[in-house]
Amino acid sequence: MADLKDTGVDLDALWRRVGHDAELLRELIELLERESPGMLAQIRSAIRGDDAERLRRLSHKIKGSLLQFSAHGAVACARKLEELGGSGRVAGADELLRDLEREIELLVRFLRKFGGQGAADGGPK
Amino acid sequence: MGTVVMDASQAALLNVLLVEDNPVDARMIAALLRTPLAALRCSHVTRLAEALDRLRAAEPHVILLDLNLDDSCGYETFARVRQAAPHAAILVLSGSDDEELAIRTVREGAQDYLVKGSFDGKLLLRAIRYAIERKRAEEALRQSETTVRAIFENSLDGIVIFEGESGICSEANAAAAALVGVSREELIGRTLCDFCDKGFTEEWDKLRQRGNGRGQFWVHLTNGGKRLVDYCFTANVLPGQHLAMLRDVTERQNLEEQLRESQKMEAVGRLAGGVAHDFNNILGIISGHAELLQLNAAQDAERGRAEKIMAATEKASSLTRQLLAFGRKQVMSLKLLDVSEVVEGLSSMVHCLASDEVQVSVCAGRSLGLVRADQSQLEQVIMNLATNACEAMPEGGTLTIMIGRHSSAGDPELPEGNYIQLSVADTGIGMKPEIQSRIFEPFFTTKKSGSGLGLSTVYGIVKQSGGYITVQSAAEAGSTFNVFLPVVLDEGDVPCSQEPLPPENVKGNETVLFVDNEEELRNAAAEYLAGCGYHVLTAGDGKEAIEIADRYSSAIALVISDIVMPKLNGRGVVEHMRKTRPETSVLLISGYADDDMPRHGISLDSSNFLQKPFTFQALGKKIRGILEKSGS
Repeated sequence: MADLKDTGVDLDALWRRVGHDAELLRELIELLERESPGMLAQIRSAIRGDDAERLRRLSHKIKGSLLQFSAHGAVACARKLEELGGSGRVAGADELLRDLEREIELLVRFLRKFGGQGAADGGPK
Repeated sequence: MGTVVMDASQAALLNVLLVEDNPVDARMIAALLRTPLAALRCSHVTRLAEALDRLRAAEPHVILLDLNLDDSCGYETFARVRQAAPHAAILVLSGSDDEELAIRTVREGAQDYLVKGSFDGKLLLRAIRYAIERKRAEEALRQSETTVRAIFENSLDGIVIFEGESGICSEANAAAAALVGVSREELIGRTLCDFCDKGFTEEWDKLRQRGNGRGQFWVHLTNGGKRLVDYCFTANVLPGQHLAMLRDVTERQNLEEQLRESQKMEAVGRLAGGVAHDFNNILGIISGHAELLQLNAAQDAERGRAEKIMAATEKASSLTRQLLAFGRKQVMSLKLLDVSEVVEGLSSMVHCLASDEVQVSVCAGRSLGLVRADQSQLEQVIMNLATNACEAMPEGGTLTIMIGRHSSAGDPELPEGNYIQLSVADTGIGMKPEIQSRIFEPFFTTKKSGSGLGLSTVYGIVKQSGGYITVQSAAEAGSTFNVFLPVVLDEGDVPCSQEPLPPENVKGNETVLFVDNEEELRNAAAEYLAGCGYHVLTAGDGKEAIEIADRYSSAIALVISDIVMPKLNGRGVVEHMRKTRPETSVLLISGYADDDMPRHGISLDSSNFLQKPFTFQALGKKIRGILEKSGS
């Protein structure tokens, strides 16, 4: 459970939210795995295009998904990007995006592990 | 997307539209709604345009709305959806914990604002249920407000809301504004006391202290008119706001006044008629005996005295005829009338009306033509106009009544035709134009004790008779009322009466039965008729008359009977004679007018009626006329 500290996931809240449904949790994890690369690519494209408003909107969108997983670390990164875009700037966004990518990668790894084993064992102990 | 169950108490299936472009969020929310207790039919769209298309087709019960979509963002998304689905409950689902946005959307109609990741399925379902209940309550409130507003706007009664201590009107409906004679805008911002008589201010203050009450006040209109208003006041219907319901009862008050007046007049009329009836009977006795004195007088001096008694009796009976006319029920009975004759008939009454300082002049033309009108109503027109004229001359003057013929040629005020013009002129105080314009309005009066009905009655009768009325007047220069009644028959065209003229000869030898409870009259009449050669039977009431007729074995040519008698009245006598002696003619006599016959259920030609008091000469002629007609 060393990853737990790094990702900042509130497992109790997540487990409650999915109604202790391990299958649903697995489905959601798969969705995040499938959708997040595309969403991150769109954010990168917005940064390259110097489109702050698009950066704000896309960051807000991915933040919504991360909130569903109670992934506070990833949410914090997405919020920083959203705020940067909201201020009309993209400077410094690359670094924030890299942080976000790393957080999501960690999150997915962690969730996959939790969804495959922890949930099957009846959730967090 | 499948159907899920929400709550057993939610009997109807609830339609939910999820507007969410994030697939992870959409899947999560759909999953949260899929609990064993839900009854939701959920459909999902990812763009605003798609959502609006769905809403145009059908409005769901609930919309779960993400504000940030590919084709719309933030509050704008909410505003567009709210407009497209005014009856749906909207729950905003946002990734932003934005307090300002949350308050704004809720204030503008969202039922809740939920931050993603902050709710589980149980919380979301509860939020949906509460949102639906809130929306229903809002809808009920909105409908109630719409109903109350419609009642307020369309009420025939005035409704006014006043602010706290100031009593200033903050809201008023159109009826309230019309009632006080101003526009709604002019009424709002003022107090009701601004429009009322001064005495009401004190009452108003007491009302606000008492909390509620009912009463009346007079409204003064800007055009000088007045309205009587019933009010019902309730203080603090809302904190610091008072309600007053107002109803115009002027018309009701006027009608009540009119009813009281007409009841009084009816009672006076009945009394006058009764007095006249009794007086006529007495006059009949005086007249009858005077006539017998005259017939039997040995000396010219005696004959002269008898004639003087008869002349005085005739004058007295003229007065009682007027009293009877006054007492008649005013049912329209149209007949051809010579206006000059009607005026002449009233001449003595008009002279009685006028004070010693008023000189009365009557100029009635001859052979002017006939009008179709009710005689008693026409008499009322003349009397009302004459009364007004006399009252307009408190210091004295001249009252002139003129009857002439008038052609409408060159007179734009009258339709084409010939008219009898009845003019009643005085040399009194006259009227200003603003008074003239209102004199025919019911209840308008310039007199302290006037009912305001005199001229409106005149106007009504003239219009009812197909005529017109005009007035010419100026302050201090007198007034002239002109009544124009259409000529329906010229004098030369008057058809000959169907009734044969009574012969001058009053002699006869038939048997007649004279029935009257006035013994003196009965005896005098019997003496006179016996002197004319008739065989006379007499009876003191209807019952006795029937007994005599039944006992009498020979023919009775004529029964002369009073109408109002004890035991059995004239109707009973007539009915009995029709059954037992159909060949016997009937002549009814009465101290009431000839319209007394129908009132007593008697159907006879008016030629079979003689009004008391009558001269024996007239009785003799009437008897001969009836007997000649019946071929006796």
